[in-house]
Amino acid sequence: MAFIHIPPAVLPPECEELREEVRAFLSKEMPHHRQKKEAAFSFFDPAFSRKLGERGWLGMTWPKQYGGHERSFLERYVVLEELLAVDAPIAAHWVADRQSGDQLIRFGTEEMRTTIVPGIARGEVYFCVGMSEPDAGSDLAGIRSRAERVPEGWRLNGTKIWNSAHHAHYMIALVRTQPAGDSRHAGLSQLLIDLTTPGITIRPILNLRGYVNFNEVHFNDVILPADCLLGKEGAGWKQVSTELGFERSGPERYLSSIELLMQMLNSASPDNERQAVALGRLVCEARTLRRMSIGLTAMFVRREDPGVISAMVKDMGTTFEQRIPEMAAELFDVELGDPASPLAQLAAITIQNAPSFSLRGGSREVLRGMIAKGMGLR
Amino acid sequence: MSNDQQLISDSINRLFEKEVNRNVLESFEKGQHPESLWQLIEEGGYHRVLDVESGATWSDVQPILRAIGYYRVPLPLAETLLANWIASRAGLSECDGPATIIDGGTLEARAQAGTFLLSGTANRVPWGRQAQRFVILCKIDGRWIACTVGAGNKGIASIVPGANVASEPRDTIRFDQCRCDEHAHVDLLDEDPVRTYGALVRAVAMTGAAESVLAQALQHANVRIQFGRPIGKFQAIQHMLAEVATDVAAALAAVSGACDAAGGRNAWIEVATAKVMAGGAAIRAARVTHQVHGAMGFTHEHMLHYGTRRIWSWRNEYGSDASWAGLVGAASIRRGGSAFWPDVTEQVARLQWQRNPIEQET
Repeated sequence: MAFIHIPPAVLPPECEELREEVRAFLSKEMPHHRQKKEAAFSFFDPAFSRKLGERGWLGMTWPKQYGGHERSFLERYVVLEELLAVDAPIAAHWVADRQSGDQLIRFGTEEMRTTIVPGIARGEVYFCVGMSEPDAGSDLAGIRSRAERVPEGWRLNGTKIWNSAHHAHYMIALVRTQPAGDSRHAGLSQLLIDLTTPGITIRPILNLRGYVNFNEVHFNDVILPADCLLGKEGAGWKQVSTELGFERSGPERYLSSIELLMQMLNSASPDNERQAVALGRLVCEARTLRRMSIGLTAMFVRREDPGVISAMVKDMGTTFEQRIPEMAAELFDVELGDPASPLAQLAAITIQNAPSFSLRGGSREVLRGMIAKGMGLR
Repeated sequence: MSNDQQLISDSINRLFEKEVNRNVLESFEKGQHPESLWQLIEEGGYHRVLDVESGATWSDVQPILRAIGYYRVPLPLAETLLANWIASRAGLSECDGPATIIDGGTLEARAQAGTFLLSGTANRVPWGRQAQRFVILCKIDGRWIACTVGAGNKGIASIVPGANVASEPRDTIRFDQCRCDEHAHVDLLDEDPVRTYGALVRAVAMTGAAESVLAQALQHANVRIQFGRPIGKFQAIQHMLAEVATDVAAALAAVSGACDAAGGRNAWIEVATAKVMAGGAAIRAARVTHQVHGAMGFTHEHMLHYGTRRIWSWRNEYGSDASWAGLVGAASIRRGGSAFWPDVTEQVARLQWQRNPIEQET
């Protein structure tokens, strides 16, 4: 079963030099953000995003002519993992840097590449995802948002949900431009939407902790220019699969709870066997996940098809992220949220964020279906 | 995989695919040692690939160790590779035939006339009765000494046969004033080498066994019809197998990390990781693949148990998952949370982890 063997990969020396630069930067910048951590698990901070842009740590792999830096995916990986390991405030640029910019470079018009992409790389222009709808979550091909051709370009009606539109300038939306034929995957297209266009309403949704995490965006007879079409009309499904490939492959898929694991290592006793065994397992998993994640990134670099590996790393990584707060509650005799215990406070936040880990970017069940299919079942 | 590894992998898989069949496994269960298969292994030189002179690394040998699990090879090939690796590192003479490795910790080694006399009992020695040579690793005056004892040595007072769950020999050997044939100092960067490298070979073999039972279950799920369709069409079955495949993929990644680190400083950290990941993956693979095979897989006639019984045995040989996880956990806790990320991203050989701080302090 060759498809479950991830070729081992080692980060080249330039990656380790870069790591030192990022660490030096973060040790200077991060202390200012400590007190804000309470708010949400990924903090919106445009000033921080612009600083990353100044350093050349956004749009790292993109062509220089579009404001990118033509560095390798492995170098980008190192910057990402260092940012995630300290829970840096990266929400502002996150979607744009991870997937939208690549979509524009790959499928967008030359105008989009020259006017929008450089702003992403500077940390000034932000995107949100436009995939899920109220009636189309895991079953993404069931989307109902519909764009029709009109003399001015396109008229869009529909709703997109679970996105960060409240912080974004643009959305790349998957919409139906032709009725579904024999295949529901046909007739879908991706549109670039300027979120200031008239007819767009952004309604915030509070997450279970009571924070604005995402939104429902309504499109009511929104008129979009003809050249907002990304790639080919009707090729939306294929394009969105490429986009999801980026969304499922990074170190963010196992590092969401890592700060709590560090806190547990601080609070535990090496002589407490129960804690040592359980934390040892988590450390073993973290080390293995990183190895898998780097191996996967190297497959992207070599332009190999990772097949089921992306889904596997995400499934295992999110399960790991969810087990960390559960283990904190199991191993430490504290009541979650107790202000007297930093561990209990962090565990309280993490355990409430955790349900989202195995939903965003494709639910666990969807991923397992993909893995099964890739293994030849069905 | 490098070219060398691919070459080794292809040839060993070809050999075992052809030679380790139902007949060999059934005869082995009835007590018949597969002599002719061992001859083929020796002809290929696989039993000495890890010898210092061959220049091969643990990573090069990984496909062989995995194939032992995948094809459930009923021979002490892993033990022989390990014993010969240590003997060759000590500069002791080459030796053909099956060999095995013994942790001398339970034996008394008395120096006499330029050699050592070994006395005491070694328990659960893998393939003791098949071994032509025992490589016994003793810590004497703080240094590792590799001692060899040939099967015919008169100092071997008794070999009482035992077995693991998979009918592989795990024998009790009593030494009585046993004069070593040879002995030499061996430079090993490990506090507990037999346990560490024993765990490594079992971890790698477990990934092979897990992959093999998973492949059988996938095949079965696609052909077994119930409720009018192959059971592999049911989401419950698909998700169980997908989860196990992910576990096995993780274990494969972990053992490849351990093979890279083997022989170097702090190899135990990667071996512990590999043993924990492979043990967990293999035990879940055994559970799920039996579930998928239904009652058929519970029969002696079905081949599945040749893999799963090995998994159940190997998982607890050379340290349980929890004992290895505990070492990693205690060392990580001593390092503290602020060291976690720098340590994860550091080369393993450069880590400042203590495996057993009490011993080091005294």
